[in-house]
Amino acid sequence: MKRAKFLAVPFTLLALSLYACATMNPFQYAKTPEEVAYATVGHYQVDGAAAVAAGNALHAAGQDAAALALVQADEVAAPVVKALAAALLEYRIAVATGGDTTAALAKVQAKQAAAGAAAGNLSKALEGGK
Amino acid sequence: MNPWVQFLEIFVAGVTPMLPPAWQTKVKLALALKAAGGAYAPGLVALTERMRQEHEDGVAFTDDEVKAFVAGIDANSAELQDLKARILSGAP
Repeated sequence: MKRAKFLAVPFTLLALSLYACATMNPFQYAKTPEEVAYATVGHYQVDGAAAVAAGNALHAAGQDAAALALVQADEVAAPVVKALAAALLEYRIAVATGGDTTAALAKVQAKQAAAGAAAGNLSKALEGGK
Repeated sequence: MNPWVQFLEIFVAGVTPMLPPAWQTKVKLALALKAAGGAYAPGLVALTERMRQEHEDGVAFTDDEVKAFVAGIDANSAELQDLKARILSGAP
């Protein structure tokens, strides 16, 4: 009984933290092309903030190669993701003004593939920079 | 350090290699980023909730929100460029 009490709290905390890690995924709600684009742009912004924190920590720990890998991934990905955000805003304007939403949405989807891949590279760099 | 926290950290370190690769990545990333400043989890939670609102509650993203994402990307890129400059110059 004493051992069960001793283990109950850490097991509960571990289960909750793992559940939280597994469920913090904005893409689970991204069903339409616009939602996927919103999730990509928003997720990249969050990843970028994480890259700043991790990069500074890596530099402080003398891991400059890993920190530079984060910087380089961002240099490649940021313009591509921002292009997706620009396409999203154009789509919103088309919707609001009754413009050609089909063409605007096609542009969003065209930008999405490149942005998704580029943003994924920053995520991989983050994972490799631990 | 609190013995419970110390125990939990040792326990997580021991258990993590036994998890599926995707979970290992998430746990390690979360722990590394928590140590690096905890910038990751709060933003991801907020974005996940916002995406839920967009999809389930029909609360559409606004132009300002998209522009705020872009501003955040620009700010992060500027900080990373500053970090690169410090690394290349040998500054701490």
